[in-house]
Amino acid sequence: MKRVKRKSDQIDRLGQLLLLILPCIVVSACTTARVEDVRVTATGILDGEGVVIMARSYHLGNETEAKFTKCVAEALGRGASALRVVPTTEFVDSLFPWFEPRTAPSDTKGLPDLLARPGVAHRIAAKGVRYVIWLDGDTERVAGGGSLSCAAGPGGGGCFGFAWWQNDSKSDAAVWDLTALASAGTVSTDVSGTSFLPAIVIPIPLIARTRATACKGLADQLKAFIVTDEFA
Amino acid sequence: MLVSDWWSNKANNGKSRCRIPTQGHSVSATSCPLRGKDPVISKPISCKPGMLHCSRTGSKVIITGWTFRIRGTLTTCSALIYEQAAVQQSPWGSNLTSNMLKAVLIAVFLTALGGCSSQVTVNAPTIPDPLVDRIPISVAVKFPVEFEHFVHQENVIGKEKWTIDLGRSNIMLFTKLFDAMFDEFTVVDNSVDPRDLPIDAWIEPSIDAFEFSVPSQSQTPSFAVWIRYRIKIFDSQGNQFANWPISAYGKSLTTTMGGDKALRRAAVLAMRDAAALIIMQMDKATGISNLNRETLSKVAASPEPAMPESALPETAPEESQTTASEDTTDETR
Repeated sequence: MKRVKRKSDQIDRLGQLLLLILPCIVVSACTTARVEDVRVTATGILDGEGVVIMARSYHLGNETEAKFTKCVAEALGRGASALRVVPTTEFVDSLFPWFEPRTAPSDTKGLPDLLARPGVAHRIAAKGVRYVIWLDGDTERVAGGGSLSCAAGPGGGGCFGFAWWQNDSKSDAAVWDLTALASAGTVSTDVSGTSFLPAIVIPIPLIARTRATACKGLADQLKAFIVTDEFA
Repeated sequence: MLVSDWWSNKANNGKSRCRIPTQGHSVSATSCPLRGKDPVISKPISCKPGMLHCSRTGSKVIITGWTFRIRGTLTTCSALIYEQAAVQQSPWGSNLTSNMLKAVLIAVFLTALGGCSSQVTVNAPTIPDPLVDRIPISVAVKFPVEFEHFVHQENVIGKEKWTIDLGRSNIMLFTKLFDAMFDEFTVVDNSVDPRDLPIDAWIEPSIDAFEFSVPSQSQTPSFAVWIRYRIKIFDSQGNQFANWPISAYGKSLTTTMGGDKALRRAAVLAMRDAAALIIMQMDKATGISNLNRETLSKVAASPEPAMPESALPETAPEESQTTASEDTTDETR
């Protein structure tokens, strides 16, 4: 009888623990995402064709994080409708100096001149790049509040209080079709999320992963945008 | 001067006292054998009051006046006595020196903690083979001595000190660049007079200024590097044909691994930026292609000028100060 009671106690404790953890998991995923695209020309991609992800030039004031660019590139290259993604460094180095921050074309009007330069069109064809995707965006803390204080002594330490902050991840991806020498359209995401940090002795961070959500949302939409030809 | 190994005494477990009977002498060394072993007191104990610790745990010597009270299980205490005249120091002197030393060590430690410094080395920047048409002239380049080992330091007041060591990376940059840009290219030693060489022009690059900013200065999460190069071009006769300053800029966001990597990346981006600018603008800004000796001789022989007069060395300004900066309209924009 005692053994049965012990087991029942253990199950009760486990249940209580799960009840504590579950809201944390649920609340930590609290983000609002908006993804939209504007199509200018017909799209589509053939076998052997690929895309390259580029961050807009810092000469133009862009602050896109390298992590975000890498995240989008990785997300595009895996899962259903995965695209062939040419590594950015490999592409930029093979076309040096024509895709450097100073020299890269800022709009599609510069594409004919760029491809007319000796060797450029040949190198792009050799790399099998059909679309260049220009990313522009960042994550900002738009609001925050609360207070949290921590103290430590010889007997131990702890925190007490409550803090919160709201992050906003905005990003735009301009898709250029190097075959048509024109813009295929843009895909944009706007993800907003509020993170909480309550602390009663132990701080429990409930983080809203806005950047990760923006990355996934943007990559999924880009796949759909490039692979699906709505005009067809 | 050592008077004698004057004193030896049995002592037991902290309660025994070892008394030095002679006033006017100082104890300069002692040993406290503990259970047959000999933990040596690392510091001289010529001071009177105070406390010293043996190097072995559990053996402690407390000096009160001339009395040693020894804690721990001891078998024998001994001390070497020097004449006062030989020691010639205040009983407080050693303590004072010791305290000062401690204070200096603490100060040095705190300074080291507060005034952190970072050193970034750029050994071999990635400068790919440029995709560019060669200019049909033969050039030589003379690198200044500073290009062999360029180091720049920047002190962020009250914060940290940054040192960036570009090493020979400027030589690598310009060698790769000019080798791809010109039909024939040679690097000449500073002792060589380029006028004796069968070349159309020679180039002397240099660094006018090098600056960078770290996040604590710019209040942004970025490291930025500015390099201002100057490129002087001389014709085959040694006349200065062009003097072209160029400003290059590189920027990199801070990584979680620290600022060193970001600063290195910003420096490499600035060098690549300079390379891109030189490739795009050099001929336009300096007219270096006009220095081709064959073309010049044809022009001299022909009754009608085959090229604009302004391009000829005779009519070109002695020092054409041309600038291609960021605001120059690029062809591709």
